[in-house]
Amino acid sequence: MRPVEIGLDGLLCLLLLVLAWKALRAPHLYQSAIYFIALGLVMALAWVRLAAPDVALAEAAIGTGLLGVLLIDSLRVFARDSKTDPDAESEEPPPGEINVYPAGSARPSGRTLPMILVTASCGLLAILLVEAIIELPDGGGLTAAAQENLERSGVDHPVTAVLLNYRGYDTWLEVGVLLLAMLGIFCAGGRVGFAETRQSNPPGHLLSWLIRALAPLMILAAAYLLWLGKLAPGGAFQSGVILGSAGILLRLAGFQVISRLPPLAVKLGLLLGFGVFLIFGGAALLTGRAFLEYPEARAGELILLVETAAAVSIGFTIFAFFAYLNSRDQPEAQENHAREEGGNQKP
Amino acid sequence: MDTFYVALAIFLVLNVAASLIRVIRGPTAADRLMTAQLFGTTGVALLLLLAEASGQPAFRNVALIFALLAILIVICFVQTTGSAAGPGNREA
Amino acid sequence: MTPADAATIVFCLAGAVFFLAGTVGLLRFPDIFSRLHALTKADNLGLGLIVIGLVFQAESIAGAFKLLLIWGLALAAGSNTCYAIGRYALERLPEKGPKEVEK
Repeated sequence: MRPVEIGLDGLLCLLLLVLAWKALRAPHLYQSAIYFIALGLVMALAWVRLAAPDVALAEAAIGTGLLGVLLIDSLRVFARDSKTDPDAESEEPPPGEINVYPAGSARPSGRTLPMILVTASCGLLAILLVEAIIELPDGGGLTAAAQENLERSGVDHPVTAVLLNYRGYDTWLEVGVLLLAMLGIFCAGGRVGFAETRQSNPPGHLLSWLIRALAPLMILAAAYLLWLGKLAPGGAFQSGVILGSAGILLRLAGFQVISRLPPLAVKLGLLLGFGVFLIFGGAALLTGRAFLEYPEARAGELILLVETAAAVSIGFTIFAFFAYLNSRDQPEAQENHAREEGGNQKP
Repeated sequence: MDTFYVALAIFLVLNVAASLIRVIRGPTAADRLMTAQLFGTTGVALLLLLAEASGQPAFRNVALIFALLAILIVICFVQTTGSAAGPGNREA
Repeated sequence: MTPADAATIVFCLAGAVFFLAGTVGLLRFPDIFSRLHALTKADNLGLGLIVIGLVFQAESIAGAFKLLLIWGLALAAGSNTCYAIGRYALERLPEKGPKEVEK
């Protein structure tokens, strides 16, 4: 490795540590969110330097775009929730240092015992990671095995082959975890915000134009990454995140996203990812193969089908996460939710 | 040629590091948001340079995703904080 | 060094200058609107010149178009976000606005 490359890597490592520290210790949660977004960017660069484009793609989509939006939006809810004085609502936030999120989002002062516990667990994790690096097998472990069977897997990209074919079980359960998280959000009242859009602040002409132009491009990019997963870095997760982001963008502009679709299609979309895996797994068991084992001749098509279903579900799920946060402070949505809860309690 | 790309990347990373000072100083949320916007653009440039340096054009897709998603944060900020107690949208 | 390489180096260095100018402006300019002005230069020209520099190295026409598409996206997004930030600052922080707007 040349000296410039070592310099770049060292700089990235240093910046990562500084940003992580600042994100944890900034005096205000809004600053923390900005540091966190920057951390995602530097992390994506680090993955590129480590020649891991699949992870870099996921980091760029989730770490920077999606998490940034979720953090910024939840900060608003934070500030609103902590207001105990009803008159504070009408007050203009004082311009100056902290002008947007006045109360509640200032960082609470740290406590000693939790800090010690967190530091100790981080230290332990660091030791374990160093040990894992030292014990890394020569020749990259299972890389050779993954490459050897690539021809039979139905795809040309080893990472997709691992995710969807060799270790399809893991991916299935990951999609299941997302489904569970979404059900949890729906139980906590996210279903109302998911279905209804109420926009109190319509975007100006320029932003509205941009959002109209960008949303279809995002859906196109999602389809492109999904298709690309067959032969190059890309795939269902990255594609799903971009699909969900397109929905978030439309919702931010006040467009109806979910209520425009037929309810059955929405339900299907939410369940499709987990369900298609399950159907294929079951079908494989019935025809005498192992769970989620694809017939070799049709593996490529089946994997694409499973990935498309997973991407659609991931997109819907991510949209549901954001919709829940976004509807938190809107009085109408809360009223609806309260009404619904009341109705459930009195059958 | 690769050395040139990597050296340029170092320069841009130093730029990112320097603009962190604006996040610390603020003073307003809009200033900090501008820094995030600069991070996004510099990030796209950095990813393109590193894609060229590593000879793997696949990394350009990371830059593409970045360019697509960087705007989400700013739109989210403007749309959600604008609906607070402020005077709101004058055009609308 | 081929002519294409030379062109790449010239354009990329020019782009780097604009990134430096944007960063220095962001750090040194006194108010939001002039900082915004500095930022848009890095957004549009900094990235644009680097993209033009890299187009000379593109392995195919499609690759070159993809680079230009990325720039186009960043351009559309960047100018709109800066407009949005500017309007936000004008509405929420009127005392920080340019003098002529105040009157």
